[in-house]
Amino acid sequence: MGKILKAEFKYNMAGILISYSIVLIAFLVSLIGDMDDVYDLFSVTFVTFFISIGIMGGESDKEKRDRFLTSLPIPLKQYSIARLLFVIFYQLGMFSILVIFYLLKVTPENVSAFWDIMKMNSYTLIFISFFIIYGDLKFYNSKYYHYLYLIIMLLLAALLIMGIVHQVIPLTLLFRQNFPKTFLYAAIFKIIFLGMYYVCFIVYNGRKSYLR
Amino acid sequence: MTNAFEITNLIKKYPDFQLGPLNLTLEPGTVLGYIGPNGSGKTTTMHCLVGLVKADAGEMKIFGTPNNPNKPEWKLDIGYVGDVHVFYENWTGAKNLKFLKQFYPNWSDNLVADLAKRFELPLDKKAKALSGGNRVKLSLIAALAHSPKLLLLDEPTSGIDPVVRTEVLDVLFEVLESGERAIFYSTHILTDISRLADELVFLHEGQILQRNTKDDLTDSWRKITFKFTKDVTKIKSVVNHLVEGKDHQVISTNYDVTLKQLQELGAENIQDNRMSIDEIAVHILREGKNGKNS
Repeated sequence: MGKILKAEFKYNMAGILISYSIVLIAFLVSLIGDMDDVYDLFSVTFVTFFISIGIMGGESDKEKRDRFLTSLPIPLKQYSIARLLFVIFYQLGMFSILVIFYLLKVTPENVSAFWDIMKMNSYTLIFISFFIIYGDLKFYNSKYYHYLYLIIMLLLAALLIMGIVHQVIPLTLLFRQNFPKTFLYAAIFKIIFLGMYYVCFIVYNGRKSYLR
Repeated sequence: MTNAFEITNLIKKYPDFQLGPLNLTLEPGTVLGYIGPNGSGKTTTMHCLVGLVKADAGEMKIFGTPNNPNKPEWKLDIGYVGDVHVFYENWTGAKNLKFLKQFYPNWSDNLVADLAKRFELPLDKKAKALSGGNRVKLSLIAALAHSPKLLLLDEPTSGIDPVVRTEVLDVLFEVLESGERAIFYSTHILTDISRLADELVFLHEGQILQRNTKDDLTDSWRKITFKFTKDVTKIKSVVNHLVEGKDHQVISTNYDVTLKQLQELGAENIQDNRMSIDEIAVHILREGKNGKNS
């Protein structure tokens, strides 16, 4: 599994460096402001991650990477974990920039912002997991595929709206100062994230074909 | 002796096609040609064997080990060259091979170097910059470098020009003839395999029509010409019968039986010609198609 991960990071190094550079620039700019700028930094991180992982995923599909790597003598389950870990570790790198920002800007008044950052991390990964599941469901040869697709798109829309609502409604912004509640949100999002990646794992292993 | 592979009651269903139920075995050291027209199920069989496609039913074993995707030790015994040649496209051939090396304990750098030299393959070029022929060569090197006991070749020369095809096949056959490995070679180009195969399996619309040794086929199938003045109603073991006046030409699937009957009927000037594997295959597959349509 480690060999695959290492290869994937090496192979995508150019894309990873470019995206990290963008986030790093946003980080440096945000450093001028206060803790609230972490939300702008998160927006840049989210968009950069989303676009870059989309490009990398597109390249991987074009090169039929699943087909290439599934042919190797490693357990399918290990490979299916490796491809998820790539996404998680890659996002974790960006997330660590948000954590550094937090550590530099933390004051006794805004300690609870950490849970918000944790929640953002999970939110991003949950968002991407829908695309991963959608991509793998294509290989189920199921007549219910279109319904599954619709459900996934609705969930995706709900998640997007939920994220937007959370960012724009002042009432929810107030919760940022409420430690137990934001911790609860962070924990809920973390559990959803773990659940979604378990679903990704199950869906990949249940695929009928690995030709692409 | 454990079979190189053993396929039992394999079924794979698609909306407009079904492969199987298919039963097929390959003994170690045997070269089995898997012959069939496009869309007959050759590639699906290969995909099921190597685990790229999950079968709907049936069992597949490689040297006695089920091809379980989560216990992939069986993959160490196989070398597979598929219908599509996949690599890390932005890496050179050498870097791709170096990556693959990590997964195969028997990997031989010397063999890689030797094959690359014989194939005249530029390993320093990025995979995406390689021509179709060179991609096939790189795939072959990747499949052979760990000296697998079973080689699965799925139309490896399709889509490449005749000059490169001959070049690839010459080196490939030279390498393969020197080793004691089982080979399962699927193709619709008979000349590719007729040189090498010990046995041939003919596949049509997902079903095996027949399996024969190459020698049995060339011994029993004959083109027979003879003169006969009377009406001939039915000649045994004949798949094709042309008549022009007194002159007859038949294609017999069992030379001895047909010859005996012709002699009993009093046919004159009986002459026979051996047929090439290509000619035989065309008739077998055509019969399969006619059988399906009738």
